[in-house]
Amino acid sequence: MTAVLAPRRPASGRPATRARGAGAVLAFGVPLALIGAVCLAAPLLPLPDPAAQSLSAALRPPAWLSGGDAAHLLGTDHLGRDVLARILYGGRLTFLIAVAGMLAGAVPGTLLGLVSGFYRGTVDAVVSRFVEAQLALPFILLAIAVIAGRGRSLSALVLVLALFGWAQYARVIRAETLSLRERPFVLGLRCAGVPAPRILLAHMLPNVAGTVLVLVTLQIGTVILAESALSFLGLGVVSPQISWGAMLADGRDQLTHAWWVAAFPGLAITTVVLLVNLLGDAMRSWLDPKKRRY
Amino acid sequence: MTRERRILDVDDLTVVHQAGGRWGNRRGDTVAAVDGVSLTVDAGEIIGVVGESGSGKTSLAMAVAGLGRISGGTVTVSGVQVSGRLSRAERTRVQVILQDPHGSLDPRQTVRRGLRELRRIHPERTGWTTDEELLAKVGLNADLLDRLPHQVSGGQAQRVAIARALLLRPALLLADEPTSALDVSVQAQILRLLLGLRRSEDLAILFISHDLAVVRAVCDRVHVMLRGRVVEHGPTAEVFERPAHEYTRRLLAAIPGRRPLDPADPAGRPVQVTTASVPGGEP
Amino acid sequence: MLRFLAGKVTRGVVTLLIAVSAAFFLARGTGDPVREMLGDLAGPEQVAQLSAQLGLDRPLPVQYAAFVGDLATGDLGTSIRYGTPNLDLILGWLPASLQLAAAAMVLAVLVGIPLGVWAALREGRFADRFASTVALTGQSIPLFWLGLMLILLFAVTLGWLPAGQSTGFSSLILPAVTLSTLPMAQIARLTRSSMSEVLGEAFLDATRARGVARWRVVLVHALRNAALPVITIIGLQTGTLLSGAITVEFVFAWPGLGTLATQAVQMRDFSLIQAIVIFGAVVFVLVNLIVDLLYGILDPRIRDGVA
Ligand SMILES: Nc1ncnc2c1ncn2[C@@H]1O[C@H](COP(=O)(O)OP(=O)(O)OP(=O)(O)O)[C@@H](O)[C@H]1O
Ligand SMILES: [Mg+2]
Repeated sequence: MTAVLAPRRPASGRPATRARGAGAVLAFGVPLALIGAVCLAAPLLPLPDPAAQSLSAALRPPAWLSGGDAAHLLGTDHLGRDVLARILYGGRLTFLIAVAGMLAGAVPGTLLGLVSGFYRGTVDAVVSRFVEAQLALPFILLAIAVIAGRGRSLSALVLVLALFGWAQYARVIRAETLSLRERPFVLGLRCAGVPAPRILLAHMLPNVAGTVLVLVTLQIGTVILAESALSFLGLGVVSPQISWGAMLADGRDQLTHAWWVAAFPGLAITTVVLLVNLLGDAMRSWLDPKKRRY
Repeated sequence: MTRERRILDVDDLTVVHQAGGRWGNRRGDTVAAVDGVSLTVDAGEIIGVVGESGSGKTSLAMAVAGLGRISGGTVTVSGVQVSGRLSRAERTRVQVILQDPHGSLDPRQTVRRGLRELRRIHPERTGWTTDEELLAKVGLNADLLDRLPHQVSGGQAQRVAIARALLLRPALLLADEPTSALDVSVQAQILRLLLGLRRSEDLAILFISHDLAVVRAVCDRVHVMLRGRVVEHGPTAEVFERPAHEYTRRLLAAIPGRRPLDPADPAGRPVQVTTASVPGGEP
Repeated sequence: MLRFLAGKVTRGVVTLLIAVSAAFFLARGTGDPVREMLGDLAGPEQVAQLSAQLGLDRPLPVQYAAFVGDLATGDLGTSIRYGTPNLDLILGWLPASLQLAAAAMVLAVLVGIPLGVWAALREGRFADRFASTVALTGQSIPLFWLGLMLILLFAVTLGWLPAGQSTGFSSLILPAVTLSTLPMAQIARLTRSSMSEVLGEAFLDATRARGVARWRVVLVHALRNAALPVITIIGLQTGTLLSGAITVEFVFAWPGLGTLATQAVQMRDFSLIQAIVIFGAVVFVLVNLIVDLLYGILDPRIRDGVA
């Protein structure tokens, strides 16, 4: 019933809904920002060196279990490295890769979506075919193909994540631009002699910015998951660099006798991605309560 | 009329739309939305185009504005033929006002920023007035300048759209159902504004509407469109009092409060049309 | 209908061609696979020899032409390490993957649709929030980590289920549950939103007013109308399933295509990797073609280009 009775101009929706939306954005955004800040500040915190090996302290369980050590709150891995320190330091690289991979996909994807929706015709046909082709390539397989050719490196990883992400932006922004360009104000601008590139960048882009913001947020979660899968398979981050996915690859080998090595990095990924997804959903209903999920 | 006063000359215009026609899925069906239409507008004239929904009014307007397809015939604005190869100055001789007042303004741009953008693109054409004077011309207060479109009323938004059009000193104002989305009292204000501007600026206005009452109130001459063709045209009073075409009679009969056999009709001329054939019926 | 079919097939072929070309140029145009395969210690003559053997010493356009020509005849090349045709290898490892994917998909539908319907019927109430939290969590967990934790709980700690290898039905349970998480979450979310839309429509109220039992209304009318978007998701999920299967198969040592792919990576079997990528793209395009056709059959408006 809500769909039928909903107000027709959602942008000016009831203040209460919007306030609740803003509250939800804060409720998920603040913890996420805190986690990010703690990871960034990891070198300033009183933590053991994440790379320091000590075989005598190998595979210590978390501090609250028998045999645990207060110096290693979440225990140690098979080389005696502190799990908590590695999670916090690993978070830095994980976030960095997520943001770089997200941007590398968001910028070209958004521009292609704008151009293809605005000019339509041949450009649109070509871009749309590429979007479909991207969706047809199973992501991890594509990553394997690229990394098999280029070798493992951070730049290869970001390239793969960009190849993975751009199509989603292009698809959604194209659809939005298509409907935007038929709006009277765009006709008015064209009639007033405003050059097409200016209409595109100064008028269309600000009007799709909200959607881009939501996509960017949701995409960060997807990119973190993708990075962790690649690093888990040994295609991503190379030791001694630490990311959460790479930690899970270590943890897999210790699973039967030291569950904490794998459990905590995975928990970190799940928590962050869940928060990011909740934030994205909250932002969407905040910006436009009636907009459907893409 | 001298030749210099001829602003718009549409000659045998045809606009054909592709129906469907998506890439890889072309069906080849076409719709002749405008089919051999000719009309002229002189400076200081308000010329009406009426017709039911889908009769091709907007397609005609878009072709005249240089925003739509021209499949055949010519559109000449102030002696220059409209085509893909017009200079910016030539193209902007026609300005449009559209039906949805809020949709006619960029939702993310204040009125002032929008005007500044136009001034930057056309410095030579826009120096004749200040923002405040311009708004005063359309009956708006200068404190509207820093508002966003959603912070003004529908009537105010339409006035802003008219102001934006006027800023470029167009030879022809093209109004496609400019009052259809407004309530009656605001509608009257906008119409009065257009009538005033026609006089003060010596503007030529092509006024498109499906509302015959409105057309009757403002237009000097009127063209009646049906399925892409002009089936009847002439001075407004003449067409309204002595409609020659059956379709015009039906349209007239559909105006609320006016019946084909109205005894108060000054012409008092009986029209052979039964109420049964009237779309929408008697009120 | 025939024109609709022809159009879809043409688009599928174009999509596929772009996809495999992208895979080709991304792998060869941007790096040096031979160096990657042999490692840094290999001498120049070794590199030259392997390049010649793989045909990688020819100019890129020539390689590309040969590659497309082979593809057109169904030739996916020969594995560098196994020495057998890639297609035979893939077909040999495929059944285990299909078994896993089918089990996961069935599970996803069996859990996801009821979850979504339940949430839609209790829109805005606890059940709805619960279901959407479950679904969102399912979309946020790294599949392979979930797999590891399930192994930890059910295989290592409780000892109820085997942790991997294909040894009968019980070994299918953990990997299938793991792999079903993501499609299950998406199907639940989509069912919920399309169901609540359908439930709000007037004709359902009219049906209900005629005294048809509520559960019948839900089952017969609503589910039928909610079917279309769910079918789409199933089509789109094929790619995710293929990708997800790689990590999940790796975790459970499941003898499917994913494991073949990870082994190919470890052995740097460049030719086999490329063949698997192309095979994946073909499967994806085929499944989506079928989904499109189903769509056309279920909803004539789409076929006739109205919607
Ligand atoms: N872009 C387009 N592609 C295909 N057909 C179109 C297109 N634009 C208009 N048409 C068709 O052309 C015909 C005329 O449409 P047009 O919009 O010009 O009518 P109108 O008189 O402005 O109608 P209304 O009063 O509803 O605004 C209609 O049959 C319409 O379906
Ligand atoms: Mg129209």
